[in-house]
Amino acid sequence: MDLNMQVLIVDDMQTMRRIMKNVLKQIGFSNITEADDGKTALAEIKKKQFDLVLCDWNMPEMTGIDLLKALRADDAFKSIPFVMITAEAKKENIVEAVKAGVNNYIVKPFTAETVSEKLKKVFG
Amino acid sequence: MKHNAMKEQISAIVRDQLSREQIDELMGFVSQAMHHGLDKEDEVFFCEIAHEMTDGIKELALMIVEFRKDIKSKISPDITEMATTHLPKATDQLEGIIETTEKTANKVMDNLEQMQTQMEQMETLFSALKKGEIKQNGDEPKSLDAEALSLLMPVIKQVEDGLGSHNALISDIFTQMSFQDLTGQRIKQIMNLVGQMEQKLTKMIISFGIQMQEKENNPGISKAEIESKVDEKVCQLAGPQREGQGLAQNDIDDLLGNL
Repeated sequence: MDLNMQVLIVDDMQTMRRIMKNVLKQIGFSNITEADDGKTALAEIKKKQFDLVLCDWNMPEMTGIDLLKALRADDAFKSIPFVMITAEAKKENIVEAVKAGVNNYIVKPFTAETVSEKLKKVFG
Repeated sequence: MKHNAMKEQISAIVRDQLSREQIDELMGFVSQAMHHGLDKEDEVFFCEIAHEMTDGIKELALMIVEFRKDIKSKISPDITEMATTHLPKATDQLEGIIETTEKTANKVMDNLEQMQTQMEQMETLFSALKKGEIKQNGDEPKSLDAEALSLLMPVIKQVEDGLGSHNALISDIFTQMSFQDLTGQRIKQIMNLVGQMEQKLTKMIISFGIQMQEKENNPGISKAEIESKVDEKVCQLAGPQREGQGLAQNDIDDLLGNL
């Protein structure tokens, strides 16, 4: 797993983005960009290449699942590794995310170890 | 002839044009109509039923008359209070909780990040110390002699273990701050519900008030016409207001205030 990769964190709660950033820094990532909803994230992805997206589900303007579907529908972005980090833990949500092409799914609250383990699974 | 007279009189009750005496007269009329053409054997039985019916109808008619006279006091003031004050206040309070917890969580994380920075600095110092170097304030590192280093090693190890353990605790506290996000989401769900309740309750009260107003201004207005006016006004309230259309805030406040 290349710790120099460009990571995009997407969550409408500023405290959550801060926590995720801290966890990623502990793992060793340093190139971290933030977005506060799906729409902003999509705009960021179109501006710059990202190697990983960590995204919440429930957000205004554009939800995480809608962002995922939008990326998978676009040839330019359909292969971006996408990990959902969300409090939505219902089976149907997970199934929907998997069907939409999510690479992994982390349920809040999470630990740094869990995030590290899930990311290693994504990147092998 | 008698049926038409009865129909007219009942309509008059609805239009609040009958006095108590007139209602008594009407009930007498109903009773007579029941009696007319009955066989002698059934007379007692049907007399009693007619009596019960007339008492019941009389009671209902009087209720309608009284209700129309004093409708404002019949609506629980609590409902309007709930729609105009308590529910909006509840939403504000919940919003306040999210803001307060966010502020506090950020303050805690500020402190934690400072601690993490200081821990990193200490780790760097002890890492250098293990190599026999004393680094301080960006000065040129000084060397530690081998004997002093070997004496210090166990202490250095203990401090490093302590630093590692503190780092783990700080990381854990950091991730626990996600409580703010989780509680915030639940509070937002409650706020949505309260907001919807507030909207529905306000619409109900406004709809009721408009119906009463229209009926008072135009007693001959039909139910369908009133409903159409209510729909129109409620739609205006729901959508963006165009200049000169829809109820102004003052009108809404007055209407709610009158109820």
